[in-house]
Amino acid sequence: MLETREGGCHCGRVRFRARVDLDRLSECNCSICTKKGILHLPTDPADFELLRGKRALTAYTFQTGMAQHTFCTHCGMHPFYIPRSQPHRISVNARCLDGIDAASLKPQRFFGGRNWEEAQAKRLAEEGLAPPDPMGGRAGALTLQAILDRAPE
Amino acid sequence: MLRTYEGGCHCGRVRFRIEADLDETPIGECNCSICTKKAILHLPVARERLAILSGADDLATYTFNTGTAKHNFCRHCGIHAFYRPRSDPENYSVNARCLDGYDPRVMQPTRLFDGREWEAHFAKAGAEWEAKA
Repeated sequence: MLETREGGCHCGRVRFRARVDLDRLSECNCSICTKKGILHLPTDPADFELLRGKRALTAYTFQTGMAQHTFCTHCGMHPFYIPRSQPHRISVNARCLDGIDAASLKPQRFFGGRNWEEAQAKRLAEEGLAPPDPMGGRAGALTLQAILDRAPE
Repeated sequence: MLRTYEGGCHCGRVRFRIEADLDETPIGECNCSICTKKAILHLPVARERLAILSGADDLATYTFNTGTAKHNFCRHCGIHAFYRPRSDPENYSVNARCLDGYDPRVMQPTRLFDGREWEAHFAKAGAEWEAKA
């Protein structure tokens, strides 16, 4: 069920509001999701608002550079990021929603990101989707920039 | 049995080596405000059993509340490979997720620290430890 929730990093500099569906929680076993322990809630940019903290965020990129792994430079939390698999969308970290009990979070979906190409092909087939337009490899960076552009200073 | 493990952040700047006995030292999980967001799986390691192999200068430190815990993370990739916990600030808690070859099927948390009720849980855990000793 879609619901509007707020959340943020730990120090309070980064805050967001998003419409998320906790029944669509997913987990990934790739190298960075494993270390981050992130629990993913895919969200449309139209349903996501960065309320504050645009100057506190930095983005880490690696390999293809598509994913934008944003984190708060002050406390190191990763409240949301732009995923490589859906670079036109946002993945909200369910662990960073206000009032969440991590023990109650049960991912229903699994993305086998260790074998990324295979996992992506499987996901697209299951959801009946075409591959996202990579926009010359800049789709993720452009999605992030659009979020930052419309966020308050 | 004590074994040697290495691990690190994601970008590779921060690397560490530890000696740990995963049979004797079960991996713990905590439900406090920051552990929930960090998703850290705690492996307590004595300070003499952890060596920072590289990246000490790449670590940022976040503190809050009492300021006792030193929450280190790599300033380049944001990964929290280890830190100094409030419950034992002279030593380290290594994030099992950051060990090379971390295997979630084997390295499951078997201890819960009720960090939302930090003072009460710390007193209880200390009394249990002393009774055992």
